[in-house]
Amino acid sequence: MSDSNEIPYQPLPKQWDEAVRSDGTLNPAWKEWMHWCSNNSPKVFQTWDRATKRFVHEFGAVYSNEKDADNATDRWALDPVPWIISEKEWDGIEEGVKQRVELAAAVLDDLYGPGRLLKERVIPAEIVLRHQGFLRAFCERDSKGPISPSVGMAAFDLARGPKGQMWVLNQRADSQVGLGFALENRSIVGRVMPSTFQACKVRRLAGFFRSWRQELEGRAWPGREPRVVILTDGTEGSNFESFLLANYLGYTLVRPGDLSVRNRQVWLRSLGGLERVHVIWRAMPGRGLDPLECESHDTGGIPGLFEAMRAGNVMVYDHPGIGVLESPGWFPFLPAISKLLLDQDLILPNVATWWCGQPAALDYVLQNLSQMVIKSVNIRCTFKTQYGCNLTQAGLNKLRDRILADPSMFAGQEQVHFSTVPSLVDGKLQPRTAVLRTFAMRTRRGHIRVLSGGLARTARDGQPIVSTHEGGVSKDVWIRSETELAQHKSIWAEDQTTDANNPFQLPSRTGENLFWTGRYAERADAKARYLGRLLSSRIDGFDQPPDIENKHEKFLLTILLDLFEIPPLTTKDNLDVDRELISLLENPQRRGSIPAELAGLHYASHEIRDIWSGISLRAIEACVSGWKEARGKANSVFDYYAPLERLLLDLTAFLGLNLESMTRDAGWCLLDAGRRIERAVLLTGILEDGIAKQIPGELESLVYESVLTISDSLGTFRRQYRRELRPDRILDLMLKIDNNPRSLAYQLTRLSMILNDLPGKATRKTPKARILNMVETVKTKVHDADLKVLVEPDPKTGIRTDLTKFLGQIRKTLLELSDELTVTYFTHTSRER
Amino acid sequence: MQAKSQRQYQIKHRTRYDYGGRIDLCHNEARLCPIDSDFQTLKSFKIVVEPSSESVNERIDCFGNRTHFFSIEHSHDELVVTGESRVLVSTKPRPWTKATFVDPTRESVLTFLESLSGDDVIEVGDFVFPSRAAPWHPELRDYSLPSFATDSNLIASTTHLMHRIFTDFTYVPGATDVSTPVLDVLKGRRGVCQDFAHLMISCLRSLGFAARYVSGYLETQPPPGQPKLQGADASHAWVEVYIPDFGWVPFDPTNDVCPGADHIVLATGRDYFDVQPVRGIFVGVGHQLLSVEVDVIRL
Repeated sequence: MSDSNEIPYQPLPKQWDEAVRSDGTLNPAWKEWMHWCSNNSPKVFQTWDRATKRFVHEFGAVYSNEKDADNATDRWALDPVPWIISEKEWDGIEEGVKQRVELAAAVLDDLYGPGRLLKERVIPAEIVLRHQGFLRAFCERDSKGPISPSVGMAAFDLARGPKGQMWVLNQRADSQVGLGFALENRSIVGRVMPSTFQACKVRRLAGFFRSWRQELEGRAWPGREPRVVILTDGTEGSNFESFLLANYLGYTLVRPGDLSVRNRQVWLRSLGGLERVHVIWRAMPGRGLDPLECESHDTGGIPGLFEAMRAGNVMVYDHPGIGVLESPGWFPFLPAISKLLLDQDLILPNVATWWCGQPAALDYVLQNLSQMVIKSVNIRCTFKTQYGCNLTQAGLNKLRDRILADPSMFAGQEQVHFSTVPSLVDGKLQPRTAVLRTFAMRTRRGHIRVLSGGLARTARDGQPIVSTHEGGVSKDVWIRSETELAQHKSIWAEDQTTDANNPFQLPSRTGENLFWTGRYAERADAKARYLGRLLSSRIDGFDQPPDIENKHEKFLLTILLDLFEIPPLTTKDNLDVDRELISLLENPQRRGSIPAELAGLHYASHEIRDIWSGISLRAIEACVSGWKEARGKANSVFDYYAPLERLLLDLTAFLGLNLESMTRDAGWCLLDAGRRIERAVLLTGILEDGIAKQIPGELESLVYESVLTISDSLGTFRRQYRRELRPDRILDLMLKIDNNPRSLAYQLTRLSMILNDLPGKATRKTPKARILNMVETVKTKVHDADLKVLVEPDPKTGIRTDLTKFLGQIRKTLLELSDELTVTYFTHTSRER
Repeated sequence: MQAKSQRQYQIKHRTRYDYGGRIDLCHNEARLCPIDSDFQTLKSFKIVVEPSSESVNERIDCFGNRTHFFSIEHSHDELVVTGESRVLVSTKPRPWTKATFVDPTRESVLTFLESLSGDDVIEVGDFVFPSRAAPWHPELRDYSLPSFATDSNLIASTTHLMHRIFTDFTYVPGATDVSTPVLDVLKGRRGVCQDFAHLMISCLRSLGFAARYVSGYLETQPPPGQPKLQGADASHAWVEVYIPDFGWVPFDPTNDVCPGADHIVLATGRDYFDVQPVRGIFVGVGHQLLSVEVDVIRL
């Protein structure tokens, strides 16, 4: 056995350590790993550190929105050094966790069934009856049907006490926070240290997820294969993990608003209409799941869901009623409950816990408050866990008063010094206390399986830690295998259920966000071109007398503000070009500014981040973070010229990537339709303001040139006509020539093509027929337009009235088209009365 | 045949929602069916939904109320839900009004509630603890204490509390709504039957007693020369207090009476939100105008 003196790690004196025993010898499970470190330190630490940070950052950038990107990377700090556990020890832990799951199942059966625990006073009534997770909707007097709550997936936080015994600190039943992170940590750490990972013969996670998929899809449903969705409430934490799991398992990620109940069945609002959903795996609290029957004030949820569950028409994992188990209030009573329901002693003991609803326990907690961790026994409570050791005397007094006001809502837990695990801190291996979250699933037949691994969290320097969801740094958990590992099987290996030729339709919300991503991208593109033209005028000018240039700039700015309906900072007659420019380039609070537009694009695209390829997400990220960076560096408006070009490039890259990588399904159609409609609408606007309006004679040629530059068609014009800029020629190029990808004719041709590919029949009077008909109407109108007539100005006013009217009608129909698409394909929201 | 010691009532409770627009889908839960009890027998019940619903599914909720779930799954712009029932209510004097009835001491009741066990946990447990609309609060405790001297008896004290609420508070329709917190009612000193019921329940629970919310109806044919009781032609709400080894005893703080044959019980729960006569959620764009009509006719 190795001597720990040879290794680059020194545990704390008198504290249990996972890698080095108290006699100084190395825990055999860590041998190969430590050996590798000894041979390669300290260089390898740097390499690991850098690689991990890069993977985490890439990942964080991809999976969280702008606001949260820094938070997510921060919150999800990953230490590549794993917590290594021998097979033998793990077998013991596994047994203990399995027993806990079994116990949880038995408790639920009892609570929503005969109620022995309450009647025999094995558990104090207030712990159950005052818990927001106890859903009375599921305890019926004439209970019938397959609705009684059962455990599907459960999580337990474990930690090792000073004498080496593993304790249970916490049970998470209502949602499995951390499962996605455990998965992602493994994927990263496996890439950071591939050879040590291999050498340690680490048990794989895939088998657990394969079983879970079988469990979710295993029940027979009439008709086709079951459709499984992962339900998230859209809150940041729930989203992040749900995306990970949805991607890994290949399930559709939905929000409550995507689902509705009809005929006591659950349906997904998809672009192709309503699609039956059979299984919901929820990543949101059960108590907010059905607003019709929940006591919760939260909005959202799926009205009628509980009734669909009662009818046996949908399976919900985990059952909403399970949340009642999530409370430290249970802990002091679990040994007795286990005796009563399982006739067993607990294999894994609890950390010492006192429920303050009992006078003796209350006294004890209050007398030892400074060494206690105080938790609320109700999950919905606003009370945040407090550590006595961190509080001043005044803080302790406040806490005491708070507890005394309603003691049965609190529990105190002994604050223990948990074991330390080698952790990479400041380029060195240092001991840090750690908590281990384990995950287990239970099948309908009662078979229990524990994930061979988990999510570990270590405390930041000197901070106490009692639960994995309270910050700190996360770690992968390696369970070593004594035998040769079977060849790695992906979760799809045994799969025969998925029918690849019969794909599910996209949720309508996804379609709507794609549509708006297209519109925002096009809008940002147009704005960048306007501002670019204005900037080049400010920087270099166009060889015109200063007053002409000045007037031209104001004219352009007026068009820009008018077109995007942006209120000017000053009065319309007294525009301050530089002030407007800087505000439109920099101010995210200004409606219609570039940063505001990019935020819209970012929001719409990130609402559906599960459907983009990784590289598309990074292109969006490039647009947003590139602009943010430019804002940080710029000293004056002139410094924005290059970033504007860069932005155009990044936007084009994003749209081009989608062109290359997206399946031409309904989602793609809507993304493209959004772009085409926006581009067409903006074109009618610029032609109206730049051609149809009365333009002072001396400005004409400059304005015409601007119109073509902004429409990215100046080069095309010169090649096509090789003559002077004249309104009729510009109109011809921009309205009628259908091989110019910037022309109205081109947008309309594409629209009629892609809209035809949307789901639905286009027979008489269907909404789709109405949509296609609208496009045809505009197409014909453009085709039949007599440009000679349209360019004639009104002799009195000098305004091209016919052209104005013509463009106005086209724009109106296009906007109606957008509304019609919304009504036909996208979702409605629900309201309580 | 109707016995002499019974009164027969015919009740029609009509709830109408006007959405001011087309609604594609709505899900609803109704608690419009009067319960059976020692003092009341349900003769018939019918729920009518317009536009018609595919199905109406009945279940018994955890408080013993008959609950009806129904959905309208096609475009509609209004919803009318009507509960029609016939109920026999006993006119015999209630046991707790008899001279032989022993009013338990405050201490004995509290001791009983602190050590609830067996079926009592299920029957009474939910009504001891705070609920959404009927919380525990020191101010409520302080308000009620003058009615509960240590050596007094529960029914006498509760009657005293009911009388004080009736005297201290003014019945003002429209001053509050279903979401007005009970502490605001305590401060504002006005409200409607719901508020007074919630207030009284909260007071009793804050002192450690078990109290529940009753939704129901009140017959309002005033005898000549006597004032008309409030709550006429609308649904009504009052309170029940648990008496160990006996059961629930009703109090109506809105009218300062102990309910008898004039009160018809619809449903019971921890507070209004457990027994809302019609509760619904719709999908679509619209608002809702609610109107309720209640007819209580003695046959």
